Amino acid sequence: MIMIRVENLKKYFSSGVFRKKYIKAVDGISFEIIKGETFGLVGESGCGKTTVGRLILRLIEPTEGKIFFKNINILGLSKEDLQKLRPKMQIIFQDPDSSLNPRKKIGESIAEVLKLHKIVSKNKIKEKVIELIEMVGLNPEHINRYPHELSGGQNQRVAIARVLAMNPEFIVADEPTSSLDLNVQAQILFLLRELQKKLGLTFLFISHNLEVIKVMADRIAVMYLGKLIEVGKTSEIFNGSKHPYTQALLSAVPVLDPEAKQKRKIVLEGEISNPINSPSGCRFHTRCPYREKICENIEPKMINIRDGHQVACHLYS
Amino acid sequence: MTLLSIQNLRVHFLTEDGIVKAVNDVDLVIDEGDTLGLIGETGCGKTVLGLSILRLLPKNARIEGKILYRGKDLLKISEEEMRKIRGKEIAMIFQNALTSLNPVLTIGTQLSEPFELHHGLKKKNAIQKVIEMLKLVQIPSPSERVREYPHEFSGGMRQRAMIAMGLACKPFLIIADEPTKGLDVTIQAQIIDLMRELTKSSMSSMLLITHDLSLATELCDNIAVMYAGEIIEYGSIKELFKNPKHPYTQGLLDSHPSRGLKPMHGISPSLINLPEGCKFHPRCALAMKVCKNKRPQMVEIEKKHFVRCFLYDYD
Repeated sequence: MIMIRVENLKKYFSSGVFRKKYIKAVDGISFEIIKGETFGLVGESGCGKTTVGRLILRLIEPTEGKIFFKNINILGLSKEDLQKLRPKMQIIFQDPDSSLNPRKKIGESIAEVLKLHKIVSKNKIKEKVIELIEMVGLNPEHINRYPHELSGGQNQRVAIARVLAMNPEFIVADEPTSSLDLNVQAQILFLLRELQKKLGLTFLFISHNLEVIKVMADRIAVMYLGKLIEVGKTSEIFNGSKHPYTQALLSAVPVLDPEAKQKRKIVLEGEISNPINSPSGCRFHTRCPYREKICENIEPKMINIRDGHQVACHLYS
Repeated sequence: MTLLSIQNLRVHFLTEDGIVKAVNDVDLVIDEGDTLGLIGETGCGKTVLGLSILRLLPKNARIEGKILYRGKDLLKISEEEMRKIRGKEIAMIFQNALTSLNPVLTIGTQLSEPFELHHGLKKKNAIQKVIEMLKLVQIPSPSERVREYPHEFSGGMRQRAMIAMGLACKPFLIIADEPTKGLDVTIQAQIIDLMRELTKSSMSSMLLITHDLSLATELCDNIAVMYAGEIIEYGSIKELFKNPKHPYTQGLLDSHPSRGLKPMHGISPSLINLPEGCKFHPRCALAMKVCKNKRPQMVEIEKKHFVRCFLYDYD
């Protein structure tokens, strides 16, 4: 069953007062997320991955395109209908310290969600809060603490408890561990995997960290300057990536093996281009080691290589 | 030959909340041409250790022990002597280039400072030197870029400028504190390559302070693992990754995504309220009675592989 379907999604932000410039943050992407899977969205900062997550939840309005949640066209919903659907689609943000209200105790923060969406009856709220707190691996004594009294990892657990309070089916996890230490990161990722198994959750997992994506995602989409350039199963992307950018990205990941230190890397020249005037043709051609004439003028189409492995590159068309 | 030898270093901060015991009886040796990685989680005291070498700590710090640089104790010399060493013989690359660079001065003005200060060059000649340095760290069109301000540089370029500044006087020792934090992987790969080349060509030693195990693997010869203000394991990179001995080192490696993502339970202790005995015992699955009361000593279990744990302390 398909949980999320995105068709030709675009989001242009305008900037400048007199001479309008458009930042093409997301520029025509399509993909599907299947129920129960973790779909990883990976790319460097500024490639538009966070914007995609926000568009799907309709936290911001797209410029063009369609988004379906279990065949419901989200963009066609009225405000009231969208509000009713909200509990089913949730988001875990990157920085837990700033996504929790600093003046509310942990227990109040969680209870607030239960009250707002009338998840349980009033006299059951306390019981439910304790159940949620324990589900994310915290102690009931944490209920009376404030966010500043907890560590970053513990606050992220609270943020996860608030999301779980609504019994969601689909969760966007936007860099949920990028501000955390290695071991705390492992604790949170482990928790998310356990919860997914237990509750049958579907994730859109957004990250710039390929090592994290590798252990979390079933399928991966690689994004570059507002476009998807490769999509496939995690094992296919890591063992047989096709796009030169994906290959460079993978080879750039430092490996935790001193013996493999001298592994030849593809070190890309330059930096990601400015999305205000993204290059013509293939957007990656300015940094691509295999660029040819055609890449400068014609944008490559996404083509299917073999079941479900798609790539947008002239080398394969 | 030994370049830097830290002996019994202890750094405590007096604060309103109590005494923050950031560095506790640390011994470390860096040989000439060596790259030592100091790894540990947030709040384990690794940055404080780095800053104490250059005497850059705030006034409420109480420092004990010795930091011998070429036989000279850096904690005893005068401020004037220290200033001659700082930036010239021992340089630091800070983690956040945007906050470490002065936003109202051009890159050229800031980077020329070490040349004017330590080599007595005139401004004009110093700027020439800066342009050479920027070229070395592969910043495109350096003679124009030298007139720009930090905000006109991208994150990767700012970090390169920081590295250029750190290396400006060809220091004998570079202290690099999380030099690739917040950079994208493709840019990170460029910076790693650059640092490896530059330290090799200038024969500098380096102390790399990081929480990123993969980065340490890429750049270091030896690794010291820090936990709650103490060095708990030390060894060559190969030995340490193949054969980690301390339960914390083992746990840290196992929590890495590429090693199966098996988290340790619990969190690092606060430096104000450290546990008795072995600092890791409340989280250690193999803790014994002795671990709660006595601090384990550093023992050499194999050649140049040291560990601070009662599992290996047979006396």
